Amino acid sequence: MKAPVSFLKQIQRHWVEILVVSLALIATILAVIFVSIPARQKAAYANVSIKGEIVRRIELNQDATYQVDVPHGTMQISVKNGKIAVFSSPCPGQYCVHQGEKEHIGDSLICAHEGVAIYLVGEGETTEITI
Amino acid sequence: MALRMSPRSKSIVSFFLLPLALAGLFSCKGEVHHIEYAYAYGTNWEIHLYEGTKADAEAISDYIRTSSQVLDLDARHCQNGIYALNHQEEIEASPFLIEAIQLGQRIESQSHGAYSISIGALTKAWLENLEQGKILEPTSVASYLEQAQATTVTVQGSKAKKEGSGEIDLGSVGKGLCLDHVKAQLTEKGIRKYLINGGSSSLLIGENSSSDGSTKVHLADAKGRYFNAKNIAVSNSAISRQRYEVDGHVYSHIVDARTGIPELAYDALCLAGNGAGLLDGLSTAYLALGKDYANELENQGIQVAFMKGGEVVYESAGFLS
Repeated sequence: MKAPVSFLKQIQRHWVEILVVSLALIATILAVIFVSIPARQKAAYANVSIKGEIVRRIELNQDATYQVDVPHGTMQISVKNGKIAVFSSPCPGQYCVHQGEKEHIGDSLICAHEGVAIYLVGEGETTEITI
Repeated sequence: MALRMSPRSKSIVSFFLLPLALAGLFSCKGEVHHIEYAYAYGTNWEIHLYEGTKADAEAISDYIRTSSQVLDLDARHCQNGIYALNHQEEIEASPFLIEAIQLGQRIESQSHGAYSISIGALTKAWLENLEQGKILEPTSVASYLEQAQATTVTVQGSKAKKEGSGEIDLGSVGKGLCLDHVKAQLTEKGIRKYLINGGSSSLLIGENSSSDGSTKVHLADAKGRYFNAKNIAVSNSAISRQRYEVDGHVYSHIVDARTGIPELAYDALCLAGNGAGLLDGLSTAYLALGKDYANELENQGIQVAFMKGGEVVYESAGFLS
């Protein structure tokens, strides 16, 4: 009759298989986590609309300043390091200027006084917004 | 050393590698995303559909634009809308106008006098003055209030009748009521994944493809605070978007009908629940009333967050993170 093989000896014999199965399990868990946690996506471009009409599309991959004619004057919009902001506006409240920089899909910059909305857009769904 | 594995080990490894392959496949899945824009009810709208067709998104956008004509105070061409109601004694009213009137009156009845659909002229006068850096004289405010209090609207069947010289303004329920109809259209088409944003003040949030299907809604007036929304309407009344400072006082576009003055104690009020039209009107009324009345909203199943000075000063239990 064969003597029973000790647990440690079994591990020694099959260590390669144990290692491969463990790595496969860890990789699966990581993959599931990666797919299920949505990262906030950066926008590819911004649509500038005045009273619902898109007047300009601004790419966010190039630093630049843009001038847009709005009902009461000119609005300056700046893009830097993939972020967009209203640099100056003729509106009295300056809320649009104080909103700061935006960079993610679903973000927007609003100037109610001038009827301007700047929407940050990309291919992905909007899973986060600011109101 | 050659890598040798028993058949059982190979099966175990395959069992775990299969989900890995599927996970890789799902992360590359093609996504549907139709975007349309509209300008209606005095604000910019975004329509995001993550199901359905581009034609569905365009239909929603068209509906938002055309429905706004009924409640547009300056739409002279709309014979069954609010312009006609304000300029004629009795009209054959659009069903949408009748719904808006009845909703507005319902909110009036529960607002302790802070909300009125008859203060259109007072609101207009305030905005005209504030744009020029001036405020209304107390005598003017009193006169407009008296005019509003003497104005009534009655609905009988398809007819609407206004008595009195005040101006009826239903802008505070219009966006939300429009969203109620949009939701009905989306439900009819079987579209569950969407986000309809009316100027960041009235929103309809369906589902999306994230792990729990919810959208994270950040509050601009309370940095760092947010809530997760799914299959819900959200209304956010905030003074920051139309803010005027005169002689050290901060005024907005929301007039407290009790005082006739658009100077409020809070910066913003965010409501989440069912019925976008109801939430739209209630957020205007209760921003004027204040957090002491929050329980009246919570008793209706509405979640509440009052904001002031960049902070949340009142929130319903479990609402915000």
